[in-house]
Amino acid sequence: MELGNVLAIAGGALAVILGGIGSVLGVATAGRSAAGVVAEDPDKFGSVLLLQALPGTQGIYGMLIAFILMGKIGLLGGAPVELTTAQGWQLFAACMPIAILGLLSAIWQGKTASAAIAMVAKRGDTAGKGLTMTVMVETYAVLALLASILMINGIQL
Amino acid sequence: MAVMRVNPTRMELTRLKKRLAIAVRGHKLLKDKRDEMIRRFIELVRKNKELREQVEKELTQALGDFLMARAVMSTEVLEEAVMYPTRQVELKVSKQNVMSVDVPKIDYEEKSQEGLSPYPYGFASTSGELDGAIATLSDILPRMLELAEIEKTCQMLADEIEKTRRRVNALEHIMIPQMEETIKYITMKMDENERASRTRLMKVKDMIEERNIESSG
Amino acid sequence: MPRPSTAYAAAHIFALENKLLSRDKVERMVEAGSASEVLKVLSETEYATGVSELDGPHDYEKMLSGEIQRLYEFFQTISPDPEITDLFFIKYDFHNLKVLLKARYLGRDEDDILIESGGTLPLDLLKEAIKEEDYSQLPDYIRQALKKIDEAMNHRVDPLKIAAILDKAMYKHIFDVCGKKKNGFVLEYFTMQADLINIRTFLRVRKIDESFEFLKELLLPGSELDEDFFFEIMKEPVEHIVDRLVNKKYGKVVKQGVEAFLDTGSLSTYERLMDDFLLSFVKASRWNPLGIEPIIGYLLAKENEIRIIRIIMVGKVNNLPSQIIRERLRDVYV
Repeated sequence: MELGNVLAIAGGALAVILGGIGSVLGVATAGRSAAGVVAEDPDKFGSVLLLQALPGTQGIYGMLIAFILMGKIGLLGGAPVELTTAQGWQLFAACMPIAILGLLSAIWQGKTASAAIAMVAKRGDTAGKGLTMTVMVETYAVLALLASILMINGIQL
Repeated sequence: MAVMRVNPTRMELTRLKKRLAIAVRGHKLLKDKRDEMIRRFIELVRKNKELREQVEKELTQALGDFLMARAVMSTEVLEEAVMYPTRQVELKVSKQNVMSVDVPKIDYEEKSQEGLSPYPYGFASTSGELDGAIATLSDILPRMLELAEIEKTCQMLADEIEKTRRRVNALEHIMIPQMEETIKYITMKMDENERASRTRLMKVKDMIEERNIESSG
Repeated sequence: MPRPSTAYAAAHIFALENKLLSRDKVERMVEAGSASEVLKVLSETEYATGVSELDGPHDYEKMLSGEIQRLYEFFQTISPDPEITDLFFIKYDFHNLKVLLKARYLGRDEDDILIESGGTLPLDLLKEAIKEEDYSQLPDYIRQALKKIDEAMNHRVDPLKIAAILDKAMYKHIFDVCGKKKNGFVLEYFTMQADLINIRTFLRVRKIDESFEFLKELLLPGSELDEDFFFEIMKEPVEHIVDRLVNKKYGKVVKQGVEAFLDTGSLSTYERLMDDFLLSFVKASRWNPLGIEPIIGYLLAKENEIRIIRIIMVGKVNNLPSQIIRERLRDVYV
């Protein structure tokens, strides 16, 4: 196998790994806060669960990019395309937006979710507002996802 | 006025007269004593009132301070703050004679150890309102003792004045008039006896003279 | 036992904040006609169990100490970092030490003014150590202080000195732990507290006309205002302290507090402002759902609440007008 293929697969793997790590950390942070609230007020389980789940999307985005990439280089169909080193680097770079941004945005979204959960703990009727605030962080992960998809699609093999 | 049941004799009369003289003299003395006691009493009562108002005012303030200190500190902390006093007061109660009344006299001696602050607590954990209360209370102590002394004296004097007044009244309205009446009665009775015996003598003399004329005639 | 994470504790505490007394409950309590009416308002709150166990309104102190005990037990289980939260409870240990030491020097028992629970060390341990004069079981910071006291009391017993040495030891320990933990928030809190207490001590010492030597014994360590500062200011009129501290965060507290003190000779305003300031400092930094701030905030809010209830109850039991109660009332946290 050529170096190009190795690079492309490494890019996809990083997207999954980093996005996943970010989500794990984010969901864990938010989860601790959620547990604290539910310990005192079990009725709020529904709204805090939603908030806790939000940082989980970055991991999914990472995986999505990995799939698109795999489709692109034919890994899924069982007929891998032979890539040049330059193409490999291109695909690797295209994965980076979601890999890096997924990692960071998930961690910070987890913290925001924590704050929103704390807010919900104080006032139950603010779950919707907390959700909006937390989703704002998501925007940039979505932009990165978009950038990654467009880049992968745009690369000529 | 009732007359005493006495024998209307000359001896009794002399005795009564002596008693009357003593009673009148006693009455005058007691009256003087009463007047003097009332004068002193009024003086003391005035001083008492003044002192009492003063002490009460300061005490109210000190207790108010204390109350507020108590409000911002927990009971335990407050009690810990004051549990080890640095000042001790020794009281000596003796007697003093005012107009033959034994009134108490309170002397006190403060035994504060040299160099020890009168505030026996740390300043970090206690409220500042406690200082004020402690200072006022320790200021007020001598005056409270004085007040106690004066107030007790007033009470005892009042008792004594009441007793003396009753004695003066008894002498003035009962004993003296009674004795005067009795003396009058005895004198009258004795005058009466005198007149009776004189009449009797004159009658006897008349009878003797009649008998003499008859025998000579 | 694994400690709960800070995020968990903070969120749990955010949920609990709803149960703190609100401004409007406090207002209703101040306006209540009698002590039992205050209890009625309290029985609508978290204090309901405490209230129901009372024999009468005069018993409220029992309810409050029960609350402190509950608070300590709760923090034992929830605190992500007991070493830091314990700093807010060691004052009860030091209170007990003062009582036990004074009782030993007086040669009598004063067990009824010990604070049974709330301290970080078992009371029996303290009792035993003081009675036997064997301090080997005690933590270092207490042992050193006790040794110092024993030495100082050899010559003559001075209750002020006992308290002063213990207060100093307590703050020294607090700052040692803060330094070790490198927690800027707690360090700043205690530094400002020590500053404000030292200023109060200065004002009190001025009021009773004592010397700098006397003040020096009472100053707490760890304060940004050192002995030299107070040495200088002791020679100047009291109001100069306001200008010196105008740039501090608590400059306003000192200004208003000192003005009220010079006006009325009473420190009640200063003390209220001081408590309010420290609480608002914590209040301002409590919106960190992943930090220790909300946890400390809740602890202080709870202590503040107990203080508020005590002020109101003392006022109501003694039939003080609402005005006097309100003057001393602290702000609420929520």
